[in-house]
Amino acid sequence: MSTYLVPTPFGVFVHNEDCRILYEVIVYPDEELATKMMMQIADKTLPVEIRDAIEAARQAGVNRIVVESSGLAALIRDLNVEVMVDNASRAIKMFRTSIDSVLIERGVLESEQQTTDFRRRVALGISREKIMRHLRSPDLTIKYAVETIDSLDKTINLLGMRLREWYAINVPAIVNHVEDIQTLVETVLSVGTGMPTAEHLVRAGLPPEAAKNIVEETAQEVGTPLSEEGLKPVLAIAQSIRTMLDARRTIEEYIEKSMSRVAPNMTALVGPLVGARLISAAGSLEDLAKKPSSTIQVLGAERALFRSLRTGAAPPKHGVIFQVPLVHSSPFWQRGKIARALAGKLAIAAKVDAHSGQDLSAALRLQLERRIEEIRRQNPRPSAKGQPEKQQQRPTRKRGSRGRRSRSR
Amino acid sequence: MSVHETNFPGVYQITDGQHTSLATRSLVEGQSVYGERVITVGEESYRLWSGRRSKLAAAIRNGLGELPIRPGSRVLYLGAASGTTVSHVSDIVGPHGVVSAIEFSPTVARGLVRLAESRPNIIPIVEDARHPDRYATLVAGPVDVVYQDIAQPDQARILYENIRHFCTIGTYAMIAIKARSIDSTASVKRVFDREIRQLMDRGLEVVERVNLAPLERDHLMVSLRVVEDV
Repeated sequence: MSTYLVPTPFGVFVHNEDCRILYEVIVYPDEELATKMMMQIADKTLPVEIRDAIEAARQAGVNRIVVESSGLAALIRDLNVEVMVDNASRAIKMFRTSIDSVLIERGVLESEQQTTDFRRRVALGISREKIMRHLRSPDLTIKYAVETIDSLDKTINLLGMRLREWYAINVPAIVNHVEDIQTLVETVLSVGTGMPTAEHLVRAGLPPEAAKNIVEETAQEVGTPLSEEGLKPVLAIAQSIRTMLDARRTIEEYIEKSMSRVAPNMTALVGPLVGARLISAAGSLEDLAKKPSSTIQVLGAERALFRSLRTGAAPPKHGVIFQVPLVHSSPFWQRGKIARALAGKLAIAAKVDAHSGQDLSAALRLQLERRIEEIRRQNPRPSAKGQPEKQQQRPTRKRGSRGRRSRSR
Repeated sequence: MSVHETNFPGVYQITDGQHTSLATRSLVEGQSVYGERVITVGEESYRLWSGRRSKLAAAIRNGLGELPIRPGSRVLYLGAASGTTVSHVSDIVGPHGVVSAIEFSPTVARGLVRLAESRPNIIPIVEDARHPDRYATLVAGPVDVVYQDIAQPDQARILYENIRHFCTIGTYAMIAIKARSIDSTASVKRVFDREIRQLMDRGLEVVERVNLAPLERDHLMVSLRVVEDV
């Protein structure tokens, strides 16, 4: 005859095969206590109520207990009783569906309405707590931060183009020679309506040599000075770009700080920004830790990946991790291999960051460097396989083991 | 403007000139949950229920023959999201029914929790529907209907796991299958057949299938009934 343990919002029950309650620890009507107990189970810590119920059972000679979930089993493993997990136990299912009426019959609960109400309030308490924790989790803000950086970059580029175009009426030479948006903005703001002097330009961050060229060129260029009035909107754009650049720096610093705390190993491999992008693409650090390295390798290249699945085109070699200099500055015939090696180490780093928090960054980096050296040594030049001719043959379709079998569409 | 109860208890049809739309009688007077129109007729307020916002409404619009969710039902709702459809299910089952609403994403579940605060028949649960054992004790008593709208590749398996935990012979299941979430390359029909086959092999019987086009592309609503011991 088996003995079963079932924690419910009303308390912890130990019952036998016929659903007769042998021992119980009732927490009803203490809603707060019930919520706390259920939260503890979810957090994998042992609530005292379960300990007490098992203790009572053990003293009465019960030495084997059946529970429904493996999480619960792990909690009571150390309590000197044999624990068995039966994921779809009939007895427990029957107990769960009859407990309400049993408790009402015994007078512990008054009515069905009251039962549902208590259960609902406990569920609400648990849900609120879970949502609050999620909102407090650092990966969420990292995700928002990195998404905001992407939006800022887009906006800065767009407005930068407008600024260039507009200010070119005044001083075309500046626009042609100043590549960097930050420098352009500073130049525009300090030069204003007048003609640029070398001093202006150097203060805005240009090298003296370039400044001299611009001043000389400006003298010969065709430009019409903008009026005070006409310059106002241009300065306004420059101002707002400056503000956005400042915001971008603040956010980047924030990401650097959070990432070195939340995911030190990933940060060591790919830097804070790419690490943050990976977390954001996966949803959270924990989600990323569950992904295989092959998925991490192409995270962010979903469009190419699905195109390849649909049409049989070559699959993408890299997604977000392309942004790592190690990958994008390597010659094309090594990139795929390097991306794969990096993704492998990243998969390990993400798991360590999510679950243990140890710092293995030095070892991971070293292993990766060794592997990359090896790749470079073994592939000094493009192989026949990597040559463009290959693109013309129809790539043979790999049939994975995961059921992507359809050819017909 | 006129209000008629449809063949399904708790589901109403509101006719206004040329337009007809579905509606449910609001459990909370005058409440608009997600921006839907609320129409007050006499003492009662009705919340319009658009097939564009809710797959269950789309299924009814597209000729669903039987709606197992009725006043007094105990419903297990998997994939509750922010509670759009859940709010109408809560209206239909009324004060004597219960909706246990499971949603995994805490961000999305905020809307659900807000909804549950105003409605005594919704039990909100922020958990992964893949693991019914983690929320088994929060789901009230025996379940009459499992409704599932989870865009996951293993949605048939998830449904079955929940049925195994909470249901017995005679329980209904409604499942919205999104072909593109299961296999992005296979033909839609084949995906539907494969998912339904999986459930039939596990002791469920198909009651009916309703295609949700054109309100939802590549979606199928399937009603099933548990006919074997689970």
